[in-house]
Amino acid sequence: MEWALLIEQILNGIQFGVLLFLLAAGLTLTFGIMDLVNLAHGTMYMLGAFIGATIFLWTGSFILALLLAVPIVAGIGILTEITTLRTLYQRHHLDQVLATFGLILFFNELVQVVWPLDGLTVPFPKYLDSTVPLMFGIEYSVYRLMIIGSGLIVAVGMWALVTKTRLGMLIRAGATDRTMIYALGTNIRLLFTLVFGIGTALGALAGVLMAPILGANSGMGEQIIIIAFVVIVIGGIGSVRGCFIAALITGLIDSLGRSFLDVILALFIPVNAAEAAAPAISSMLIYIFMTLILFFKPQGLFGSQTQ
Amino acid sequence: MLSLDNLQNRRKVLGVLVIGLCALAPVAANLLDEPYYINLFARLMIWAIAAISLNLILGYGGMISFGHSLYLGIGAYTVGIFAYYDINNFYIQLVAALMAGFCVALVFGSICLRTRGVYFIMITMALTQMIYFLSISIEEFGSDDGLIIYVRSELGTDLISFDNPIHRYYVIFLVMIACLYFSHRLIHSRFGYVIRAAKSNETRMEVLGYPTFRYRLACFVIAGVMCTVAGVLSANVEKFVSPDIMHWTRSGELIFMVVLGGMASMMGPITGALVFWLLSEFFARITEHWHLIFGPFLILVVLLSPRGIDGLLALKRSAND
Amino acid sequence: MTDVLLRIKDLNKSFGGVLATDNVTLDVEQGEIHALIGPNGAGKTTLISQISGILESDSGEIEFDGKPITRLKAPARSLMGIARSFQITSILKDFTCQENVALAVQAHFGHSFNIWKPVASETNIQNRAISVLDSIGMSEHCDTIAGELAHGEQRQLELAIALAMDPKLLVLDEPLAGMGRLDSAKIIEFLKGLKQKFTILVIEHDMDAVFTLADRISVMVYGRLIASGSPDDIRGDSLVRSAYLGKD
Repeated sequence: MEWALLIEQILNGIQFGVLLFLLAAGLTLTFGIMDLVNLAHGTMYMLGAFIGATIFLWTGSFILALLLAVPIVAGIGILTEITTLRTLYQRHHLDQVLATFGLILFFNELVQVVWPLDGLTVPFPKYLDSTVPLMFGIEYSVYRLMIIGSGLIVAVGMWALVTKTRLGMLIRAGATDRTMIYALGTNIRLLFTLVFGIGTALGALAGVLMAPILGANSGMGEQIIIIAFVVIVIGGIGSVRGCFIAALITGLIDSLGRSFLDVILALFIPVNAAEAAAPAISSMLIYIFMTLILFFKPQGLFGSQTQ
Repeated sequence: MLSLDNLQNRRKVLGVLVIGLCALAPVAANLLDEPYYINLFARLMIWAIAAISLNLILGYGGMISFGHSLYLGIGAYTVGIFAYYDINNFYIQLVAALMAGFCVALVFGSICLRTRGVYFIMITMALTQMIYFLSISIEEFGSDDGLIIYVRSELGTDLISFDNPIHRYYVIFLVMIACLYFSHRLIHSRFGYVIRAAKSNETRMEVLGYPTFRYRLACFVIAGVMCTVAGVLSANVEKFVSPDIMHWTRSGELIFMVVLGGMASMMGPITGALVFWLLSEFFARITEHWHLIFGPFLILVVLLSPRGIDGLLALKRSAND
Repeated sequence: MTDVLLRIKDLNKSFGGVLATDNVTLDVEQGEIHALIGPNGAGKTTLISQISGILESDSGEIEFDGKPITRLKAPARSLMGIARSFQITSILKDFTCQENVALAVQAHFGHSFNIWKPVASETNIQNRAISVLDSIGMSEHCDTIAGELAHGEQRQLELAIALAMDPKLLVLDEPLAGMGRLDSAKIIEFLKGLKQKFTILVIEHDMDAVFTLADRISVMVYGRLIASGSPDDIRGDSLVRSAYLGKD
């Protein structure tokens, strides 16, 4: 086996995992605290990509794109929270799922109206559009390393937020026993809006970061949201730590599966068959992994029993 | 004389209207010289069949499956794949599709039903998406471009043929009526009572002596198999199948049809499918970007009338009383 | 040796480190009315949830009718003849009274995988349901939606559902909870009438009812069984007096 390829794919896997973490963290927060199943979370990721890309293309500054797009999308998120989602917290999950599905339809169409062409392609920021030499003679994209770095910073930030602050205490309380939050007598509306804003901002950040790699397309949110669901189901709903670990595992499984499954399968079955079956099976790997986890731990790796 | 003050009577009137509309649509289409409407209505009834099956688990059983479109895909792909290998006999295709739907529903159901609430929603979604990606990754069957079906299923008789739009239409119509009757029998049977009661109070049912998991699983499988039939019919209308048929947003649309018509009501899925289609046609005339209106409309329905059209019927009664 | 219907040995259950039942050992004899009393939070409901199989026990053993049932789940225990009622009324509120009771009957009349024949036409089930409702004095409510009943009637329906299971052991969690004096008296009379037909384990706070009905009484405090004996023994037990009755 080629070590260089292996390490490169591990890095890709971590990069994908970090991206998944950014997305899934927001989802797991809104579910853990507000009991809200938000399908439209992927939409915020999409809006992040579009708005970030547009600002970047206009101004040429990626930093500016990050600094502006994330708050703008968070603002849009908060606006939807206040107008629509807020009324859904106490409602049945089915209502939440449907209403947020309505939001997806709306925003996907809106994006097509505002950006009528078939999506946007975004260049890499110049100063990050290079590679660095790593061990075994690997040249790895600086931009992807930057994504991994920012993801880790966010993860540390989230850890600090959850463990060190009052908001974090409420978040933890809510994840174990939701009725606690109501009992604690804080300004619940504000707390919920704030948490929703944070979640949306994380999703938007993921969108801005991914735009140079994947471009911006209407509907890009729906593909990724399901994988984010897989992540939080594996990690255990409401647990930020579980979310981080599950995101990295999922990213790695996906990336390594796509590159090496044919090689691994060829150890057991004829090479032809392995090469034919590998793409199909590798596209299902993370779901199979999720199923296995659920079989042994129906609450996910770090899920609390009470929910 | 039928009094409209009575909810049951109002439901009956609505049911007769909707089914009458479906029964006479081809006649009307010919009179209006718009044969194109026949296929539109056929498509609508296929949705209705899928929605009737979803209503069994979602409406009566309280299982929020966000992956029901999977079974449309299984049905349609079975026809597509058999046709690809030149096996065009309808009955062989149908039995194969039913068996495939049965096996998948049994396996997926046993996985999903181990979980509750939001986990259930996400897992049904994820497993369906898994098969969606599987269908994309198989190049032999057209990947995401889909599979063109050159020959429709052959019914083995000269009397009726799927190539004749009117024949096709009434076969679908009869299947829809059969599904409706079947689900009517089911929900009033012993089994139906257990499923409905388990939705309302599962612990109680366990203590009464019902292993609820088995009953839910059986219901999940029945719904899956019924929806597979809709998929088989769909392949024969479209002469085409692509992974899009089982994308999770399609499952979302099915859920909306059931909710729009009124969950756990007999006619709900059909009225839901009908109104869903009428609305999309209507909004599409206003603007090309009709989802801009449809999305908020969906949200309004959820917020204002969570019991759908059937709920509106009931509402009118209390206003009259 | 008298026949023991239900034998509980060293049963434990803890929630997050708090022992809800602490090494409980208890026998319920065939044909007796056995009352379980104790202050709120003593673990009485936990204990009967362990008996009915809703809660899994951490350790200990349960034997019913001579067979070990510790590992059986709730439905299997129910089919063996343990029927329980709930403290918080747990009827199916959208169903009529008759449907509620019929569901209990149906569970014990073979499997329910029949998806074709309407239940309403299964006369053996419906007749049995009607006769149970009749026996508890609710025959005029057969077609009433359960959620629309008055509270006392809902408690009665709860009891009817348990009876309809034709159990060997009735486990009743505060059958008189929230009932007015008149309704209570009616239910007490009714329970008296059941005395010869069923073995009953009942949790109740109404001491008059307990001392009128019970053949034996067990007292639980903080998850432990502190005393067990005839009503007279319990009345005279100093431990019980100080721990529980002494409050009065």
